[in-house]
Amino acid sequence: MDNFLFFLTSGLCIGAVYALIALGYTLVYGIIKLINFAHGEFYMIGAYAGFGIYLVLPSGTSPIVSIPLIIVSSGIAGMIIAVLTEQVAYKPIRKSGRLAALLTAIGVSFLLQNLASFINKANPLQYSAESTGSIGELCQRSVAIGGSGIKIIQFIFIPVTIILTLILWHIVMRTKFGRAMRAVSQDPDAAALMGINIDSVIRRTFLLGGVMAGIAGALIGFQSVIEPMMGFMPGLKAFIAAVVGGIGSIPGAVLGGFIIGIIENMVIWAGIPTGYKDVAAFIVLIIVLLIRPQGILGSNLREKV
Amino acid sequence: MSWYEFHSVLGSIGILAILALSLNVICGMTGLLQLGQAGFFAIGAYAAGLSSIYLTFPELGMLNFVISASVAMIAAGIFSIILGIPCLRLKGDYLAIVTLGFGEIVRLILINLNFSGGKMYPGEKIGGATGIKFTEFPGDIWPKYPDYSAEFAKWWFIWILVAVIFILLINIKRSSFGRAMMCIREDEIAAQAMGINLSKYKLMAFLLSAVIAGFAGALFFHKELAVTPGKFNLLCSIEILLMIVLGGLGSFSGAICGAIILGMTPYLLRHVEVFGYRIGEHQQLIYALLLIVLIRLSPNGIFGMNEVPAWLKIFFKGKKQIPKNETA
Amino acid sequence: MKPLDSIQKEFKQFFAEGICKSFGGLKAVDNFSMELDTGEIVGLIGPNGAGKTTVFNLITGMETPDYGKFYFQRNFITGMAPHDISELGIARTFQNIRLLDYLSVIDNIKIAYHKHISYNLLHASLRFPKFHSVEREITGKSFEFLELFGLEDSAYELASSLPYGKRRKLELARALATEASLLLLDEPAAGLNPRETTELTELIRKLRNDFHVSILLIEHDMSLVMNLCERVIVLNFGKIIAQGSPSEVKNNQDVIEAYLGTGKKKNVS
Repeated sequence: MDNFLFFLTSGLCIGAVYALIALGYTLVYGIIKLINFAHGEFYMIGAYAGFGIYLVLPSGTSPIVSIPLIIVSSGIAGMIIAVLTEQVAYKPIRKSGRLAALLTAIGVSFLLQNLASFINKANPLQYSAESTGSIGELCQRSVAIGGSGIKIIQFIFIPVTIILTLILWHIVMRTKFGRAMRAVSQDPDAAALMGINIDSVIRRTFLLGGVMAGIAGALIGFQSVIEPMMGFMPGLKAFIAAVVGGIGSIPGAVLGGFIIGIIENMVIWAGIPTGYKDVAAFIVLIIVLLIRPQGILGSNLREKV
Repeated sequence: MSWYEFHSVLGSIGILAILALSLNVICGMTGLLQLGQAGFFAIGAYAAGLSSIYLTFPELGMLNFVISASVAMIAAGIFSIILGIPCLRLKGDYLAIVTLGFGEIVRLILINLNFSGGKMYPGEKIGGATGIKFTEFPGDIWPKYPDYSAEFAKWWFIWILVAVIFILLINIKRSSFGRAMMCIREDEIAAQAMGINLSKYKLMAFLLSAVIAGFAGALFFHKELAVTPGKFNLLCSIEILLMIVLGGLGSFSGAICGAIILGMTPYLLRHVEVFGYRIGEHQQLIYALLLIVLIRLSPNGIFGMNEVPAWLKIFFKGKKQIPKNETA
Repeated sequence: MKPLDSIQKEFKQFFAEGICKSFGGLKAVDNFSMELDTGEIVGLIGPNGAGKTTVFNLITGMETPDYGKFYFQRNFITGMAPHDISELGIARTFQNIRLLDYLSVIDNIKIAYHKHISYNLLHASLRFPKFHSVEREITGKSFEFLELFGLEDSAYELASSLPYGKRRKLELARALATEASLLLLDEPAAGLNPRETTELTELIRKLRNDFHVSILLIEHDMSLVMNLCERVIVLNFGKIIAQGSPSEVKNNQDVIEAYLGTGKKKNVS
């Protein structure tokens, strides 16, 4: 029973990260019905960018300054790569059909993974490895919860996620841009006829998604290693989280993220070997798609005959 | 490249061709986006491997291949039904993700699963991340069991199988079954209105595609005499998809063409250098770029949806007609 | 064809009773009831959005009604799967033409015969004689249908290469080839010029006479409706507002208001 608290906390923390990534997926899918396979790579690039900034900062910088700085720069990096990808890769094939879009997304994903491998050839990067800086030390400190150590830095995951979700919610529900987003997601042609600039809306949606993913990357970077393939699994799981919660729904994405995070850890707590941890998310996906395909908080969309 | 290596490569490309043909059944002909074909390939390979360990009878000699290939196909078939039934009501992107998930689940389970050694490795555990290898046999069992494998590695045998499977599939395409599956690809709603039972034909597509992929897996095992789980990953599934997209989604001739081109490329590029970078090392990067560029420039691939006779006619005579025996 | 006596009502070919269907909060079809006898040509008209296509979707099993029942040839078909309903003998065409563009014209027709295949996958893949004889038969029958509609010259062209008028014909031919006894035609004259529309009217009447099919059609082209339909049902906001012979309905005040608000009667096409 001791262990339970540890795994629950772990689950909540990783769930928060999944939630952030899932938000990006759900936003983009809601707008252009594209599963942005490369979204996990935006997360990865955010992590690298954050680390890059960290290397540039003077070594005595207090964590109170450096951590927000890293988070912000990761967000900016995620934003840049997302918008770049959309403009260069996705926009030209927008009319070419779903298969083309999916394959292009997969191509971009591979491309980014390989570029990162190219740059980061040797060992994975780690904050805690740099024990000279204050962040390095901070990232190594942990506190015992439920019998095992939870890294202290993880405690900022949930608040960051909640803050960002609230900001996103405000943008989508209360601003003119948010209204435009919702219009495009319901009926792009009608929205265009109403004078909404579709290209701009799509671009800015990718921007928001990219920021979320980048920041998620920074957060995870604090807690574990940064390496080129780090975006693949979390990207898939976050997509599963978005589907489970209801694709197109912001609270759904957050809910889904936490659900996947917790279930993953519960599976380990229940004694199933850790190698099978990743399988849990896929099983959840299949079950949800069988029982309630629109997700927990999602709404049913039908094809017009 | 030595002759031995050359023949080995030809054999590998043949297996890729069979995989491409299998994926074309479900993606090209029926229009269901399936990103987990590596999973069925893996199931077939492992089933053949395990069958070679537990179910091999020295008296039977070459027939042991029939046994292991059958086991591989049956195993792949069973899993295809298990995967197919939930997938029946999924559309497009969701189907892609679930099948991708399936491929990943298979890989993850195979990495973690250990099998008992059976007759060959008494008391030992095999499997796991290192997979199954025949070369680790204790000496006195080695000559008797997998002797037939050396013959099956001959590339011409594999290519004969490619031709046979190709002909069988073309016959299916030009029959009522093929028509029904292509109808599902073109317009599911129209298909329903014409009385086509979507579930029946979709499952048929899943089954056929998986069984052929499983067979390819069995061939692969007997050729390489070793399997490791790491090889059957998403990149593998994507490679196969790339082959049929290159050749033309819907065309079996295109599938073989795509497999040949994509299969040969790493070896051809191995000795090419651009700006001091050996291209062969960056295969994944090339594939990624290729995928993106290909989709932009030529979404229909080389053959489009046609098979060789029609394509020849269109290419040389510029006709928009399909020859009489070409239609289903 | 004379409609049967009302005492023998239970032998009519098709019934709809109290069909209701809502999408979200919107009642698309409200208490829709009708009967149709073998060989009748009935028109279903109404302003856009009145729920006509939804009725078709409900009959063919694409949607399931919230309330109500459908009977076809004494079978209770409500809730059956679309392919089973098609097997019983109901075929439909689509407003937006759903042809199989990347298949040849003749393949589009051949699909209609997929239920009558007596060979299996084994026969097909190995090309047993059974396969060849069945395929020959199907090709023969398909050509007959193509000739009926004047499409036999384009048999081996891609369906996407046909001009619009021929595409409409192919859509109709395909539905007929399923050997249905009830055809649901969704705006068969949409996009046709007056000459083509007259041709279509004659064609439909001929089909009804030669093949003994009943026809329920949705149309906006009033000339076709007036000339062809023996009975007309008018729908507005999902409800039936009028039923009767074409001339009765034409002069019905509610119908006129539904289409035009108040004011002069015009030809709505």
